[in-house]
Amino acid sequence: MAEFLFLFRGVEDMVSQASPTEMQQHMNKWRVWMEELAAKGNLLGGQPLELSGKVISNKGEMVTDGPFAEGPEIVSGYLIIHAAGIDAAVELSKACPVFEMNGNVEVRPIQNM
Amino acid sequence: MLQSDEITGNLFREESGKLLASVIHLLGAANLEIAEDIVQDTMMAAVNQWRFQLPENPRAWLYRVVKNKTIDFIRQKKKLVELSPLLLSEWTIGSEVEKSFSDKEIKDNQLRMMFASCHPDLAQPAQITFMLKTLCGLSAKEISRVF
Repeated sequence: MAEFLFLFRGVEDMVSQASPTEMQQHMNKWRVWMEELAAKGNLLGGQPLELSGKVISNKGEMVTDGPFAEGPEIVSGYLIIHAAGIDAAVELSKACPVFEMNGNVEVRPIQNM
Repeated sequence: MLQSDEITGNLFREESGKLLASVIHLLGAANLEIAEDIVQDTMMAAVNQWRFQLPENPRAWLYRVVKNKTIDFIRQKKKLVELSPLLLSEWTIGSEVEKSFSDKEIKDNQLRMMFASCHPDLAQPAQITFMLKTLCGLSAKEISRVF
């Protein structure tokens, strides 16, 4: 078994066009998906991320507003997942509601060598 | 981390109309787009956060976030938009915003929006579409079934 980071991107455009009811239904789908992961023992943790922030670069001398990426590439949240291997982690990610809104999931193994 | 609750019923749809009516009442009909952005940003933040964890009182969460975003907007943009003097002063902005979101004021604000929606310059179908979208929170698909 190993740990993986799931990074979620790309939902803002579509969610911002959705009606209130569609947004509520979308949010409920996420809750159901995460509860399933928790029930199966795959969910170790995770948090939503605000869409604002800062980027510090140039040895700390440059501070710019906003995340590093633009628009659809901004990470909106992450999960830490417990799975047998990367293939299993990828399988778990396929049911993520992010795909309904044309978003994507990045699956990164947490290094433990 | 997760409780086993979903949000049932029509919370988002019902509250989005009420919240919009109150923000429009504060910022004025000329700032309709900004008011819509404030409410939409709040709903998006709710989707983002609640998928991980539901607040104890979802309705109160929505109202608190909308109020704070409205106050932030007023503080940042007060020189650019026309606002009531009570909103321009730090002494009174809090209570003025608070007042606009009381249960009684919300009902009055919804009525005000209904009257404003019946603007004579708008053709009747446009008036109805506007009301269904902003006051009632229906989607474009749902509205298209009406016509």
